[in-house]
Amino acid sequence: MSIRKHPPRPWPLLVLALTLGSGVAVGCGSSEPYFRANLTEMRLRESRDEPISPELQSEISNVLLSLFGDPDAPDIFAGQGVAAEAKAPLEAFGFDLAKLQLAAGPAFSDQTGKQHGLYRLHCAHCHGVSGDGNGPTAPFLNPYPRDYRQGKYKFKSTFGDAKPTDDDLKRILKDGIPGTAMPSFVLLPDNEIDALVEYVKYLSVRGETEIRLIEYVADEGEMPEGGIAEIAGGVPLQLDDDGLPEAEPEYENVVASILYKWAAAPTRIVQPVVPTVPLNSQSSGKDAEALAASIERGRKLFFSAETKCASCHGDAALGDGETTNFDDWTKAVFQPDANMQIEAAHAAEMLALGALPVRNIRPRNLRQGIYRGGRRPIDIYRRIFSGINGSPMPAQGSEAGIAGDNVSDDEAGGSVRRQKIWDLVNYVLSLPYEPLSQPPRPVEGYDITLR
Amino acid sequence: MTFLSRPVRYPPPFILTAIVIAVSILALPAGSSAEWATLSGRFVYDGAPPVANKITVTKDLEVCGKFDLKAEAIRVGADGGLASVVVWVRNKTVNAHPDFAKTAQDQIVFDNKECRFTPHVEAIRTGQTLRLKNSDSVAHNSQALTSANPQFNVNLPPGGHHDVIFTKSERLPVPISCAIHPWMKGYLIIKDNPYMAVSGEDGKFSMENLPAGTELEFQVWHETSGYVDDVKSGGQKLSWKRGRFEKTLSPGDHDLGDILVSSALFQ
Repeated sequence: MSIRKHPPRPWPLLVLALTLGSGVAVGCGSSEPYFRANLTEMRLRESRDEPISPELQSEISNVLLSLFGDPDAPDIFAGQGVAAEAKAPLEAFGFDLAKLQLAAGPAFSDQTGKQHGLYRLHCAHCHGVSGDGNGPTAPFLNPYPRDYRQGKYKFKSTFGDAKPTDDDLKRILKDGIPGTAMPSFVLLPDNEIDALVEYVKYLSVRGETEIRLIEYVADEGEMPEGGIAEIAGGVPLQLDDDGLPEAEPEYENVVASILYKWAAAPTRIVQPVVPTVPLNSQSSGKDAEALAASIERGRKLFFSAETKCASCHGDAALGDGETTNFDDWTKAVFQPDANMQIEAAHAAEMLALGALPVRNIRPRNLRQGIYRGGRRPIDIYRRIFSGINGSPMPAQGSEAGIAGDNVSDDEAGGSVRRQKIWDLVNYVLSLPYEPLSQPPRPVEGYDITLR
Repeated sequence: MTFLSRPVRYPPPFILTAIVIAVSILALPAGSSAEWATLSGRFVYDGAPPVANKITVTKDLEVCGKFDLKAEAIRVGADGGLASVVVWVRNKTVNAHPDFAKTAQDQIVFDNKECRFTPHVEAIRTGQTLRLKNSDSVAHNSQALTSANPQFNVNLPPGGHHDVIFTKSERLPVPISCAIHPWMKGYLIIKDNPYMAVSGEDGKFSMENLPAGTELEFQVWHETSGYVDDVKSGGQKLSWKRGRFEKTLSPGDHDLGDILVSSALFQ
């Protein structure tokens, strides 16, 4: 590892040092990057009369260090210990160490041209070294970058609160998220995309573990009796022939039960029913009538009392129906009251602990033709069927209905029959082409000078 | 490896793979003690009761605008009774009264009615069915931010319902809300032991069929104060750390009387 001794000082490190706000010694070697403790979570959960003590805080960070290493070396304990068969904990968790190593650490390329430190090169400036969505550029972006630590993701093929599949994360990396600052990384070689997906999952599992430990410690006033063995417990997961976990670990086995949810994600992919209507993106002349009828049915549903789409997306689908709400990440930290007001003193406290300034969530303006989770009909179907995890958008479908035509509509439940979701999809996809959605044309006869 | 200079209290966990902790949380088989106790009391808001904010109805005025909706974060009755205080038994294993077996698979209805959740706080055991119901003529949706159980956010058309069965205990009550009508907030207390109680409009709560002779640890919580840890009873100030107190009950009824909850908790 001689190459690690002289890592170039990449700019993200400098920026990191700046954002740490110490103002000390900037310029003469920034401090080593480290995983920031989740201070807002601690403050929100601890009791007034007995806050989480500094000793307990350091116990939490020690457990996390033992299990997940640090930003330079996730494999910090690999090959150590008395047992010859010693495994790095991350390996026991099922992570691919080689991928993590490629993504972790400082960004540089070696003599063969191989790129190292992919996460800090491509991601950390927005998503933060800790994956808290609070990198140096985060305050300037709208929407804010994703905070991975809650393990909650919006744009995925799986139902409700299920984790995304690896393919979902790859898709986001390759396509980017239209309408946000998230760019496409389609030019990166596949192995680098894979490494980043693995690293995002690693940060996410680490962050969720931290939150669970804080939850425990805040209420119990001590670390779990079974210590680190209980916290990790139940790993490696027992997998069946399809690579799916056989049994769900106990909630007390924090890491294992989080890993279980990631491993089980493929079992919760939403398979749509096969559409009996032509879809908007593939209509041809002879289907035009059927498509128009489907769009019209979708329009009625959009404004119906069953779906209530217009309630938030607005009577003109401009995304202006409900502008006072917040996403789950913001709600958890700022705790708005019943009139969606946030107490100033509480907000100030959260900001002082590092939270980003509060913002409302905006329902999508459906007239722009910009779809964050993808523009294919199946993407829109999944958004409507599953809701958008972490946002106020509810599911019109239910878990029982994810198996497409393999379950009957009666078994599938949900607030609308699943074929009707395709009508909604067609309507949504038609909105950008309505005259109302087109920019006004200059009126003829006027002399318009462009400035 | 400079990293090792950092404090590491735990050994590198190479032993992890071998260890699986099996935790049995379920009730022990009923046996020895067949004597039971009831714990009751009344929570009182100690201070000038706050005036509940009127809800600004921003949605479905023709339906929700008809009701006199008030913020429910602190509900104090005419005689000072504090509603929605949640009490539960913390013991990991409790010798539950056999009668609870009869209700183990009951359906618990959590209604969206008159543009609010009814009841405001619902207690439910794992294994029971939570029926999310919509009695209004407008759609609602119910989003529950659980920790141990899967989170959900489901749309409920007028007259519609959706059933959920929880499999795990939640440490604290979990918030439930409706995105269409953002003022709608409620809580679910989900435990695998049956000993949960929520104080009513008059501040009174009652927990029946508790095992007598066992040291029980109770925990008391309110959505606005969090842990109810600053209380007075019989003129005496009690410090319920993290809202906890312990009691070993003799068979029969035990009335804690008025428990004055400091208004400072709600500032």
